[in-house]
Amino acid sequence: MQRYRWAMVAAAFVGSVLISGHASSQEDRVFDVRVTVAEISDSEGGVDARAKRLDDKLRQEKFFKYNSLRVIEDRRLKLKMDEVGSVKLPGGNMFRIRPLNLGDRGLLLAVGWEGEMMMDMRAPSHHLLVVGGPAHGSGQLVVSIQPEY
Amino acid sequence: MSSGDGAMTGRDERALHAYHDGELRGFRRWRFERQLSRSSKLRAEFESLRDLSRWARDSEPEPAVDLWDRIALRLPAIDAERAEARSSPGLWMGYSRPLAALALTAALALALFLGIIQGGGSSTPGIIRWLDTGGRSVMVLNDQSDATIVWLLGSPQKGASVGGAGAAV
Repeated sequence: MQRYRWAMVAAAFVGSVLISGHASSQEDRVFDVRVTVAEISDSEGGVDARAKRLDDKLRQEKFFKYNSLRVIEDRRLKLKMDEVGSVKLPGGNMFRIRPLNLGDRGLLLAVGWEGEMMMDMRAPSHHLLVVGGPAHGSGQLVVSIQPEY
Repeated sequence: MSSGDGAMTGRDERALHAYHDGELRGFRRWRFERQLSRSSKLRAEFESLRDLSRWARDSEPEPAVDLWDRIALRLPAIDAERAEARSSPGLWMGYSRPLAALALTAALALALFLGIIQGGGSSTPGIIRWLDTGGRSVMVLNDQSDATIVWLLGSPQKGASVGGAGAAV
C-alpha cells in the first residue's frame, strides 16, 4: 500500500512538472506576426511585390476591384504571449495585436484597430487575416496580419 | 522578512517586486505595506524601482499602450476562450448532441435569414471568435482556406465606441 502511495505521489509530481512546463513554454515562446499596411485604389501604380499574397487573396473575391496596391508599411513583430505589439497607421490611429493562447487550432490573437474594430481570431500559422475598408487618400486602407510560428 | 532597517533578504526583494507590479493581494499586501511604512531602506528600494519603471516608460520608443487597451484586448478573448471550450467535443455535458446540433442549425438559419452580419458585437464561425465594430456593418469573407477577409462598410457610427460588449461564438 505504501509503495502505491509513493507511486501516486511520483505520478502527481511528474504530471505537475509536465503541466507547468507546457504553460511556461507557451509564455516564453516568441511569435512572429507580419503586419502589412497597404492602400488599394483606382489610381495607376500596380501592385507592390511585398503584398502579392494579399493581392491574390483580395482578387479571388469579386467584391474587390482596384488598380493599385501600395504598401505603406511592412513589419514583422516579435511578440511574446500577452505582449501587445502596435503599428501606427496613416492618420495616427494604432493597430494593435496581442497573442493570448496557443492551442491545437492555432494562435488566439486579440486584434484592435483604434476607432474601427476589435476582434479575437484563432489562426493557424501562415493564415492571412485581412482587415480593410476605411477610406484613405483616394482609396481604402487594408491591413493584413500573418502569424508565423 | 526583514525587520526594521536591516539588510533586505531575497524574499523581501520578491515581495517588493510583486507589490510594485500590483500582484500582492489581501493580507500579504497589508503585511507588506506595514513593513514598508516601518523600513526606510525598503521605502528607498521601492522609490528607486518606481523611478526605474518611470524611466523605462519614458524612454520607450513605441507609443505606450494604455491600461484600457491592454484590458480591452483581453476581455473579449476570455469570452472567446470560454466559447471555444463550450464548443469543444465532449463538453456538451448535460445536453444531447442531436439537440445541440439542432439548436446550432436553427441559429445558423436565423443568421442567414437576417442577411449580412451587422457590427457591434457580431461573430462568425471559424477563424474569427469575436468581433466588435461599434455598430458598423461588416462583411466577413471566410471561404478561402488560408485567408479571412474582414471588410468594414461605411463610416463608423457617431457616438459608438469600439470595445464594448460583444458576443463570442
